This record gives sequence, C-alpha cells and structure tokens, in this order.
Amino acid sequence: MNKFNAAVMSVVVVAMLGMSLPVHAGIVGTEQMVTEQTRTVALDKINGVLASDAVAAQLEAWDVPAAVVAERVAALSDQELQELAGSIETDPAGGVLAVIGVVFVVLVILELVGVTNIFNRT
Amino acid sequence: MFIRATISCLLVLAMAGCAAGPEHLVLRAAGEPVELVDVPFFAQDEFQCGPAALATVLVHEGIEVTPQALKPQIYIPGRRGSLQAELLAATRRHGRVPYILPASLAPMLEEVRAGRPVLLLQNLGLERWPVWHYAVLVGFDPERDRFMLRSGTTQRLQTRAPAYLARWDRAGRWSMVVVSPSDPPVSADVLGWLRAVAPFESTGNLDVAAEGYEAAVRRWPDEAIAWTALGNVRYLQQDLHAAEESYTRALSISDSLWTARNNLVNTLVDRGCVGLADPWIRSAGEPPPEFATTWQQTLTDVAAAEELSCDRSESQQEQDQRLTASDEFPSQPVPQ
Repeated sequence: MNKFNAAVMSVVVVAMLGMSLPVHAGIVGTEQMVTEQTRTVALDKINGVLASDAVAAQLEAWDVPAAVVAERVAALSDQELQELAGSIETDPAGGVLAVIGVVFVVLVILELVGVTNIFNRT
Repeated sequence: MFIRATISCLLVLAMAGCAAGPEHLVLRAAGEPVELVDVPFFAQDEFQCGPAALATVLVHEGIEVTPQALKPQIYIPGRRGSLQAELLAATRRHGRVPYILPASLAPMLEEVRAGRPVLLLQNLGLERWPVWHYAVLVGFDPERDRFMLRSGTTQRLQTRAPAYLARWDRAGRWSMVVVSPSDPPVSADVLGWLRAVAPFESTGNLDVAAEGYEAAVRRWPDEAIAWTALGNVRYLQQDLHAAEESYTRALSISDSLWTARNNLVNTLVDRGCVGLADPWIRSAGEPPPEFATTWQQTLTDVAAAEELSCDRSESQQEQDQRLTASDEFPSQPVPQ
C-alpha cells in the first residue's frame, strides 16, 4: 500500500470510530466477550469491514497472489483484522534463513559483550 | 584514553551479560532435561521459516501438511516472511487451535515437558534493527544451560540459554502451541483458551468452536465465562434450548456476567418467551458503562417483542410436570 492509500485509510477509520450508528447488537459473541476493550460491539462490527479491506489491500500490495488474498483475509478473526489494520506495516514478518555477512559479525560481537541483553530482562 | 574508556565499558557490559535474569533462573530450576525427538523437521527454503515451523507443529499434531502447501496461506513475498496473525489463521484452517502462551518461560517449559513443541518468534537482530525468525522449541537442558530447536536448515540447533532468552525477549516473548480443539494445553487458563477458540466462532466454523467450548466446560466447569461461550455457539447453531441452558448455568455461577444475561434474554425473546425473560431483566441492575448500549438495545427489542407460543425446553417441561404433580416445590427459583 502506498503512503497515500494508507493515509486515506487512516482518515476513514478514524472518521468511522467517531461515529455512533444505532446497529442492532443482539447476541454478544465470544470474541467480543473475551477481548479487553471498551469500545462498543456495534462499532467493532462497522470497523471490521474496513479492517478487512485495508488488510486485503496491503497483502496485495506485498505481492500476495490476488487469488488467495480473499481466503487469507476470511481466515482472520475480527479482532486480528482490526489489530492488523492498525499495525500490519510494522508487524514482525518472520522469514530469514540466517543472518549473513557483516550483520552477523556485528551481532555476534554485540551478543558476546552483552549489549543485546543489556537490561538483563531474561 | 578513548580506547581505555571503551574497553572498560565493554567489560562492564560483558559482566552484566553473565548475570542470570529471572527467566534464566526458571530454566535452572526446571529439573531433568527434556527433548522431543519425534518432532518432525522441515528444512526451510529462503525466507520461509514460517511455513516450515508451522508445518513442524501441525504435523506433530497429526495434520498431513507440507511447508509448500502452507506457503500460499501464510507467506508474503513483499515482506519476505510471514505474519503472526496469519500463522494463527492458517492453524485454524487446518482445524487446530493456536494457543498463544503468556510472555514468560515457565509455560513454554511446561508444554515441552508435556510433549508439545512450541513455535516461537525470535528477533536475531537488535530491537532497533530487527531480524525476524520463527523456530520450534523441542527441548531444554537446565544443567547444560541449553535450548534445542528445529530452526532454519538445522534439524537440531542447540542454543545457549542467554542467547535464546534474549532473542525471544526481543521478539516480544511471543510463542504458541498447536492443539486439538478438544484438548486445551496443560498450561492453559480459561480466558486464554476461549480467546484461542473464539475466532472459530466469528469465522463461522461453529463445529470446531463447539468442540473447543465443550472442552472448556469440561476442564473449567466452575467458570461462568466458559458456559457463556458454549451458549453463544449453541445459539449460532440455532439450538436455542441448549443455549438457554448454558447461559442459565453461567448465571447460576456468576450473576454479574453481563454477556450471559444479555444473550440469555435475547435467546428467550427469539424463542418467543418474553415472559421468561422478564425476571432476568428485573434482577439485572445497572450495566457497566461499556455494556450500556448493548443492554439498552436488548431492552428495546424486548419491549417490541411479542409473546409467542413459548415452547419451553424439555427439562423445564419435566420440571413443570413435577411441580404440578407435587406441591413440595412451590415455585421455580427466581434469579437473584
């Protein structure tokens, strides 16, 4: 997704968040029940549609074959889609085979001298 | 002068690196070494540790799948990798539940000791310049201070504990196990399990969701939230009697669970039993702010609903008959 599309999407999402439409809520699903959030269920349902569009657009922009984008987005839950819509560009994408070359040497040195574990949280 | 300062600085850092942090102490106290030697291994192709790691844990759970088959489900060419959320989604597409472990070492070790490999995200780079990688934890050795992994193209990678812990810590301490819907992980808690199963419900895979919630009420029969979840899937399966029973059970455990109360009232109204919903509304009290809109909507629906021929559940009918037959139980219990 280019910067412009991302900006437009952000504006739309923010605008929708500010709106409060009377939507029939009825049964509260388990996903909403177990998700720690203060937003109302009705708003989540509206945002869900936008979120899946935003995630689909981003996957296509990253060369995921168009034929599989729809089924991949459909496999994500509402909550996952909303989180992804907000952070997909910076979310970790695990993939490397190995760290190579200069980067590797630098990392080994840093790890040996403890820089990469400087706060000793582990 | 500059060189001396640098050297002393490095020495201080090296010493800091030697001290064992809290998680490292957890490993040291973990007892006998464990290694799951029967966990399969798939050597990854370039950038495709996601499909390889996911295939490893899925095959171990009895799913016949290969990294090549998973690639179209989780690989993103433009990122040269796979997102955590898509690993979760792909696991569900194969009928298994991805359970995210809490951000501490103890549950990881507990799962491995119980025979479950743990898929984890590692950051092989720095916090500032991350290098993301998925690997599968298959063993640990407290005495030798090592973790054993299926990783990349290495079938049995032994990693020193400080390095392993640091890479996991820098990746947000994210890890998951893959289990059958009827078999919550040994380290699971009720809320974590419901969170893991709920996406089956919201993506319309109701049979698997039901299996997961049934397992939840078996394992945590005193948790109102588990009965509520079971009620939700019964409602979606259009088994309104079963939904009503589950919600009622939930409210008998905790009458302050607003989701259960709201959904029970909706279920009764859907069945045309407005009269039966009435006591639950009268005993409701004031909903918490985040629930106010939903509850108001429910009250509006109730007001608009008509009392139809309320076909009562079989158990209630039996109860009614008993009540008619004998006056020992003068009235049905009314919810508090």
